[in-house]
Amino acid sequence: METVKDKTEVSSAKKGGKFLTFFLEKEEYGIEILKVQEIIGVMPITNVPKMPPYVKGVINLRGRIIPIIDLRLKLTMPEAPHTEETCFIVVKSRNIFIGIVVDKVSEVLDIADRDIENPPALGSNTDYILGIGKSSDRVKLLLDIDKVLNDEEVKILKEIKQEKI
Amino acid sequence: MMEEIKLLTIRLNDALNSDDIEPCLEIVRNLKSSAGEGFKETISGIEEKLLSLKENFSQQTYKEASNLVEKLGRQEYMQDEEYPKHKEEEFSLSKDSDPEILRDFITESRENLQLSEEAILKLESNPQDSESVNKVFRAFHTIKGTSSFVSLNIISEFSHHAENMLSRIRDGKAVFNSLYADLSLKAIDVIKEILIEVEKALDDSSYKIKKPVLYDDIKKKLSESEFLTKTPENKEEKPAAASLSSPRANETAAAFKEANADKVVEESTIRIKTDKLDRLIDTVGELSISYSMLLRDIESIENSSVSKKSQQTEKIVRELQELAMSMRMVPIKNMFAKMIRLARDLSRKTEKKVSCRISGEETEIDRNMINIVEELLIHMVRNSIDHGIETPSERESKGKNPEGNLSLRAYNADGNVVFEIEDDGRGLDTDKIRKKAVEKNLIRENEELSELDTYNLIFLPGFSTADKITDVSGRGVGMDVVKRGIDSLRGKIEISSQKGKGTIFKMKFPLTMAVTDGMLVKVCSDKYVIPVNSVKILAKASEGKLYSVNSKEEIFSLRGDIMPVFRLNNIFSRDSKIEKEGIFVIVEDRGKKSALWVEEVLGKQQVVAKPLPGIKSFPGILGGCILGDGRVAVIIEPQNIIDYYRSCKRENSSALS
Repeated sequence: METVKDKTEVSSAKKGGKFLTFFLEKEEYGIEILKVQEIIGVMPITNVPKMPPYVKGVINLRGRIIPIIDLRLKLTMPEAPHTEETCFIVVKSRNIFIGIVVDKVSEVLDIADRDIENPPALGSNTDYILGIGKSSDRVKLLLDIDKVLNDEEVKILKEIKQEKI
Repeated sequence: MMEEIKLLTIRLNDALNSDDIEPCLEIVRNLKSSAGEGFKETISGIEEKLLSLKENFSQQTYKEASNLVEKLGRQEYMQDEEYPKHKEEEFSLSKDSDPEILRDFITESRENLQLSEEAILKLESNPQDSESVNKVFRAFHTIKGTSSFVSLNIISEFSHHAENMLSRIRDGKAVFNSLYADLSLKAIDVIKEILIEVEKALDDSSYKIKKPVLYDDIKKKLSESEFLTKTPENKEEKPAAASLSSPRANETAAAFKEANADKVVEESTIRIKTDKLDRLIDTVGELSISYSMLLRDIESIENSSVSKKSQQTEKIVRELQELAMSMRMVPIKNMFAKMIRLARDLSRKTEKKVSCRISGEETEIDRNMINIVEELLIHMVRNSIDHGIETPSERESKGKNPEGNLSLRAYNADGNVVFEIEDDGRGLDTDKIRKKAVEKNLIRENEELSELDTYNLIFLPGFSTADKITDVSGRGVGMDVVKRGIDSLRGKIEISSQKGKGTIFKMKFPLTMAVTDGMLVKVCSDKYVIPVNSVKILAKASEGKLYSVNSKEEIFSLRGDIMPVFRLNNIFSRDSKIEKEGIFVIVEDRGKKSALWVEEVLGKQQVVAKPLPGIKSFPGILGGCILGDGRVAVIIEPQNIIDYYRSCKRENSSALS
């Protein structure tokens, strides 16, 4: 666990800061806390026809309709049945609210800039990984949520937003 | 700029005595950085002369310099002919301009332009109407003042010239004729264009504001109209107005801001951001829906006090909803005013005589629909004038009044808004339409069509009967665009026409897009909402007969009507266990029925349509709504879904063959 002192050293240009961590399968991931709007329990999802598989559908978030994306499918992991621990993390990515499905929410962590390493050059596309955060004995894959939902998707979602009837 | 040029003249005079050229040079350097492209050459010329004067004073050079300064003054005054209109100046918004104020300025200016446009059209028929002249004059004056206040010199300079021209009319020095009308209307267009540019620049800070193509041309004409018959009074007025950044201009701007503020108080209105209003209406809609769900539970409680209170609440909720809805309703007056202007311009362009009449301008419509409806009307008015109304000589030879009539009517009927566009032109020619449709392979040569079906052919994509392409209409994209626009508003269009006598187009729209009467249907455990007014009838599978065609397609026969069957589960690529039973939702488009199969119809419900993220790629989905149980349901437009599915299949089959 990092001390508060470290946080003051972190400038906004650097990657360090507070992260919400969560599990997918056995891997632990993190998203910048500033992107997170809220965490909600699983609620019934309405299927929208003709959508890519990782778009699970839409939900009603207090009168606002938001899309739900299964992060497992988006990151090409096998789909898993929802458990009691499954959560929707509502994030705001480029001005759009999106719910992402995760297996289990873990904790909010302060990770200092010096504890974040650049993503390793893996074989597959790692653009969406902001860095690898080291905290205690574990590593966390820090996601750049804006990149997880790539430009094309955000564009689709944006267009919808503008297409108010 | 005028001020600086004047100063330069004075300093240059001083230099004769003092021999000091430096103050002049300073002004010239300032001018060089601030002046537009067109002046650069002259200014550089002045600088050159001044520099050589500084080195070695000679009468000859001095004279040349002062000549150039004079030329600059003239140029500034009437944008010298040497710099024709093709020079497009570009500039960005100044960094310290407040976007909030600029947006207010844009809205306000648009209102002013709208007002003056109406007044000009009125003036054209009655040139003596001094109230209208004042209206136009005031509008331009306000725009001039406020635009200099927000440092949009491009507009203030321009409206200054317009104002001068108008002041002559106001003072009775000129009579307002159609030439003046043309010029003023064009001036309005130019300012409108600049406003659009400014708006773009506000949205995107890197955007360069372009000077409208007509800018210089119109400005020159405006200033010339004054220049030729210039009077001392006008000349006096000029410097004050031209000194755009002077305190006085700011004062005028402030004064007019105040004057406008007064007006607002008088009408007792405030401006609200539309997204706030939309959210309010949405929320009130949700409230009324969730309350109606609650009401069902309350009804089962037998307690007179509870039922009394719930009735009371119900009344309030209903009132609230009506009130919220009415807030977004706006009269179509402005829209109709634009149509009169359009008709006027078009009749000039096509050299036809058209008198345009409107009625029902107080009819109200949801402001979220107004843009689309306006576009539709523009298309229809163009269509009527270009294709419908004949040339004066043609009309005379037919024994008609050489002046054609175009009427626009709007009214409310059965909870709909109806627009009628009627012209007394040549009417639709069924033979010609048929011929064209056969030519374009839209129908078979011997296909039998009723009169109405024939008329409806004009809504097919790629259909246009205009013999030649004009810049008014007739590019083969007319009526199908209209049809699509009408569909998007869940509206209907009817045509009635008499050859040689005229045509009436009747468009019907729901009053609002906010609350929709929906029918809840179920397919494969998913619920969908279909707008009730998209549905012709519902029929149980057992009411008619189902036949398979080619063992792939199906047709449904209901009381003598035969129609193709589309299964919603197939369209959405899902399996349904129920095949034989279920319900057919029958829709009709241009006289052709289709049956959309669903498993079950669960009932009717009012829903609030909301944008649905993630569905752009699929037409036929109108949006989402929240049902009483809090779940989201997708709203679908059956006809569009069927059309989309059909076109996909056609593509597939043509790809196979």
